[in-house]
Amino acid sequence: MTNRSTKLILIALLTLAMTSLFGCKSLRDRLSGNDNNSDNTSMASSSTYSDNSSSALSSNSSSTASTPSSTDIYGTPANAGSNTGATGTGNMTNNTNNNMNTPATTGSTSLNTTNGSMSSTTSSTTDINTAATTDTTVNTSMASSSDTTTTTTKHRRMRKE
Amino acid sequence: MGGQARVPVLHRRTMKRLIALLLFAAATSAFALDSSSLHLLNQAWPDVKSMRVSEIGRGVGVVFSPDLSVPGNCRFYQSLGFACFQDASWEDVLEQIHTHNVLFPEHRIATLVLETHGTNGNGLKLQESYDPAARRSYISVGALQERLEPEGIYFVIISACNSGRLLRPDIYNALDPNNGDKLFLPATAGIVNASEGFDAVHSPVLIITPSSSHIETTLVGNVKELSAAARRAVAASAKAQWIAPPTEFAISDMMVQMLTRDAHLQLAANKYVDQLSRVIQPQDTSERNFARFVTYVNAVAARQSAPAPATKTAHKKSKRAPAKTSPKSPAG
Repeated sequence: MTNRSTKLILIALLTLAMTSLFGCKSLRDRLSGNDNNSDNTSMASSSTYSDNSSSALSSNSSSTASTPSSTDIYGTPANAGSNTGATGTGNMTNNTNNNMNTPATTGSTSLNTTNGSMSSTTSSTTDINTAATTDTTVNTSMASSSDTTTTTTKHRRMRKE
Repeated sequence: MGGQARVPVLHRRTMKRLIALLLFAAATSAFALDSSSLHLLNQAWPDVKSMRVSEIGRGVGVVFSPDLSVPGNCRFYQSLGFACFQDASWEDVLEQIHTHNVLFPEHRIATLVLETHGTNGNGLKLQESYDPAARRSYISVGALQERLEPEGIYFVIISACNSGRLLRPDIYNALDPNNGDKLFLPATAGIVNASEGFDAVHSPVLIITPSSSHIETTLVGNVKELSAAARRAVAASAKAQWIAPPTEFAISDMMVQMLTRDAHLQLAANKYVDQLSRVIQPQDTSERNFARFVTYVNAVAARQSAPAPATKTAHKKSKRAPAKTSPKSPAG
């Protein structure tokens, strides 16, 4: 009996060792919500995403960690020019990123563009060049049972492309 | 009988040792990944618990691309103790770094953080804007090593998009101006390459990048978002340096992660990546980082503004039990 239980403990420990060797990082990332894979999964499994940074909706927020599909590998960023801001190539969150590096003089006037694949998302951005902007997102989702309306303060974000 | 009894005892001991070894291996391997990045960061930027807001960035310089900055941004970083450089010309920035280390030997910088563009990993770019005619320059990683070594800067931390690609052997010393990348706009202020004979292998300057390529981001914040104590400390530091108090600042995710020693930060030294990545962290992650930065600065300011408790405690104790007290100098 002692031998058997010791062997069982050994096997369990070995499993633990192997998990910590190869799986710990991804597990930790998943738990903390910083995992890109889980981000993609959440986007694929749920047709809704929210633009808000409210902590209550943090589980949905990771859906923005995605590759903008309409930008090619050498593509000019959405802000590189005066008239590309409305194409929605910047970020799927449809927030201020579309025009984040563009000075006020060259900024695009329309930002209410990008639409997710299944969800119907409408964002209204007050001022693209202010330090803090307010995004009001009304999310009418096919997957979710209730609509969510939240207003949060977000900071202007710039991409170091 | 005695011999038979000894066998299980020995067996148990061996098993116990094995279990202990396995437990040790499990614990070690769990932390091995993070410790390498942390060790690297601690080498470049020692984890000293700052007691004053004006000492947060001591020994560290930051280079900002003008279009990734905001008015008064450098004044904010200077208030935190950083040396800050912001220009669209790499030649001018290198000259400013040289001047800084010559003129302020007590505030010499040994580590440089680059808050610049990565141009899809085709060159470190400084620019005024995306206007093709705007002032703009590029530098290769080899050139950075060659030019920064004489200044005594031995650590360069690149916080730019796809920074791992900048270390590719074919563009390490000399950038390819005809790479076909639309982001590689005209170099109106020149391209800085390493000299032909430069051998990066023997350079003591360590180039540190995020271990995985992705799009780095920066948030714009307002000093008003800091606590009253932090604002006072920032203003006092600015006043001491004869600079106007800042109102706005730009802070990158990577800078916050370094300052707060975030366990998620994965760094690599002198390691190149081929693949171009378009992965970008969600805005909420940046917002969380921003909040952590505010908390961090507020905490340092709170330490700074807190009255020295050691003196009071020693005084009280000395009244009650004079024999047991040992005089302590106040912290900070």
